[in-house]
Amino acid sequence: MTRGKGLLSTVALILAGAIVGLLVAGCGIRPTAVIHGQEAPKGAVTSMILYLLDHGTLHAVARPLPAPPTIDGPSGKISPWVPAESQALDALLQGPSATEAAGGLTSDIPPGAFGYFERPGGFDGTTISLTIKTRQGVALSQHAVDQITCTVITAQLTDGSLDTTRLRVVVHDSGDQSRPPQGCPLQTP
Amino acid sequence: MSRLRRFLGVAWGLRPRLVVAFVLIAAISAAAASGAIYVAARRTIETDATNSVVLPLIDRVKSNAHQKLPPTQDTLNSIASYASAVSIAVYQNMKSKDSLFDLSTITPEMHETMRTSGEVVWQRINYKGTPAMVIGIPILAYQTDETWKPSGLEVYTMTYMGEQETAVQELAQNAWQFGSLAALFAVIVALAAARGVLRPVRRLGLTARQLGEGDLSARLTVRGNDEMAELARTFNNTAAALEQHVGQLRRMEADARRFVADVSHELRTPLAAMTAVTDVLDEEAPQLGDDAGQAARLVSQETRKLTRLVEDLMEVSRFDAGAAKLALDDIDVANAIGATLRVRGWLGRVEAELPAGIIARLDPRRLDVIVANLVGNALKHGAPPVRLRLWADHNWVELWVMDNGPGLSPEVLPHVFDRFYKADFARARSEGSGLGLAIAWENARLHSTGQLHGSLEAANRPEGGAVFTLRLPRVMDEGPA
Repeated sequence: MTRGKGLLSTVALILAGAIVGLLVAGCGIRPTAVIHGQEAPKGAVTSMILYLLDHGTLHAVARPLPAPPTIDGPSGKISPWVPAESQALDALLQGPSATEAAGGLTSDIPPGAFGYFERPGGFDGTTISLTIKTRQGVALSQHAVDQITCTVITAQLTDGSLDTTRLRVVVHDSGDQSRPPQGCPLQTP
Repeated sequence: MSRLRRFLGVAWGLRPRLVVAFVLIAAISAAAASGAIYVAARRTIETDATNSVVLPLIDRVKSNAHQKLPPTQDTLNSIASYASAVSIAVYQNMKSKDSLFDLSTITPEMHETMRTSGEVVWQRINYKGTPAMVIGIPILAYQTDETWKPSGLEVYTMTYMGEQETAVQELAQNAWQFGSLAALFAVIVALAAARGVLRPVRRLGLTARQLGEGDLSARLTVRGNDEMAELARTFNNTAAALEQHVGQLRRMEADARRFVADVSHELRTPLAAMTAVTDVLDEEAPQLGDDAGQAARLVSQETRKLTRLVEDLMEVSRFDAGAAKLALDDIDVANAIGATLRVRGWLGRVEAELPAGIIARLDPRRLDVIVANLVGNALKHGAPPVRLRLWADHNWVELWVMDNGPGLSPEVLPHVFDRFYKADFARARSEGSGLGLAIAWENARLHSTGQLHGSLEAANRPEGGAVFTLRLPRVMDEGPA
C-alpha cells in the first residue's frame, strides 16, 4: 500500500525538484534588475560655495559658477586660468548679495577688504597661507576667519582636490597677531 | 489510484524498481550538485565580468570627474571617449557625440536610480539577442548641505557578455553531460545490485520448486552472512526437517504395507490347508446333522471369503510395492468383456452394448478384474437394468457401467475407490472384501503410457443411477513395466 504511494510521491518530488532546478538555474546570462555598485565618482562642480553668517553661525550658500574671465589677447579673447579659491575669496570679500542679505545673511568681514595667497615655499599640500588687508587695518574676528577658512577649503574641491579634511588655513591680517593654522569648523568633505 | 498501485505492484519487478530508485538518486544528486555548482559558477562569471568591466571604467570616469557644470560639448565628448568606445556622457539635454551607445537600452528604472542613488549602477539586459550589461556612472557634486549628490552629469557604457554567455552554456552542457554519465552509471550499478540481490532469490525460487515437485533433498548453498544467507539457512533447515518427517512417514507406511503383505503371505499357507479341509467338509455336510452341517457350510463359506480377502490384500500389496506388472496382449475388447460376463453367469442380467472389432493392447487379466468388479458392484448395489457401453477412438478405449439404482450419495462419491470403504455401514458384513473397487482403480491406473493415463471414475447420471467410467489407453507401449 505504502509502496505505491511512496513511489508516486518520490516521482512528484523529482518533478518538482527538476522544475525548481530549471527555474533557479535558467540558462545562460539572464537579464537583471538594476544593481547598485560602489559609490559614484565625486568631483562635479555646479556652484561656487561661500560661507556667510546666519545670526552668528556659519552658513553655506551656493552661487552660480562665475564665467571664466576673458581678456583680450593678441588673437582674440582668451580665458586665463584663475584658481577657484581666488575667485571664491574675492566673491566672499565682496559680501552677501542682495538676495542673501535679504535672507538675513551677513558677513563679518569688513567691507573693502582684499586678500591674496602666499606661497613662499610653494604649497606643501596641507597649509594654505593668505593675507587679508582691511581698509582701516582692523583685525578680523574669529567668525570672519572661519568664513574665509571654510570658503577657501571648499573651493579646493573645485580645483580637483577631494581630500580637504587635512587642509589647514593660516590667515594673516593687519593685526600683528599671528594665528595658528586652522581647519573649517564645519564638516567639509 | 489503487489500480495504479496494483499495476505498479504487479508490473514492477524488483529489478526495475531498483533501477528507478538508483537513477532517481543519481539524478537528484547530480541535479543538486550540478545545479549548485552551475549557479555558483555563473555568479562568479557574472561577477568577474562585472568587476573586470565596471572597476576600470569607474577609474577612468573618476579621473575625469572633476568638471565644472554645465560642461561644454567638448568636455562631454572627451569624458565619453576617455571612458570607452561605447560610452556616452549625458548632461541634461546635452550628450556626447559620435558614441556607439544606444540610449534606448537604458531602462526607466535605471534612469530613476541614476538620478537618486549616488552609486554606480548596472543592469544586465538582452540587447538584440545578446546578453549585455549597461553600466551607469553618475558624477556627484558637492552640495551646500555638505553632501554629495548626483550632479546630472552621467556616463553610460554598454558591454556585451557573449563570451560569458558561451562560458555559462558550456557549463550547463558539462552539467548535462556529467549528469547523464552519472545516470548511466547508476543504471549499471542498479543492475549489478539487482543481479546480486535477485540471483539468490531466483536460486531460492528454483530450489523451492524442486522441493515442491518432490525432490526433498534439494538444498541451497549458503553463502555469506547476510539476510539472504539467513533465509537460505532457514530454508535448508525447513527442507531438512520436512525430508526427515516425510522419510519417517514413508518408512512407517512401508512398514505397514510390508506387514500387510507379510501377514497375507503368512496366511496363505494355512488357508490353503483350510480350503482343502473345507472341501472335504462340504462333501460331508449332508451326512452330518442339521446343526453340524450348517456349521460346516458356514466354516467353508467364511474360509472362502478369507481366501478371497487374502488374495485381494496380496494384490493390493503388489500395487503398493510397485511390483504389479502388465501382461499386454492385443485383444478384442468386446470379446474379453463378453467372456468375463459369461464366466460369471451375468449375460442375462446385463444389457451389454459392445461393438465388435475394437482391438486394443491391454492386460486381459486386469481388464477382467476391472469389469468383474464394476459389473459385480453394479449388480450388487444398483438396481437393474445394468448396462454396459463400450466406445473407442484412436487413443482411448472407454467402458461405461451404468445402473438404475439410487446412485452414489455426495459423501460417498469421493471415497468410493478407498480401501475397505463401505457405503452402507449397517451392512458391514458384505459379500466382498472391500478392496474390489480399489483394486479396479489401481488396475486402471496401471494402464498408463507416456502422457496417457488410464483412469476409473465414478459419477451419478442425471437421470439417476451411478455410472463408472473406465478409460484406458488403446495402445500401450511395452514399457519397463
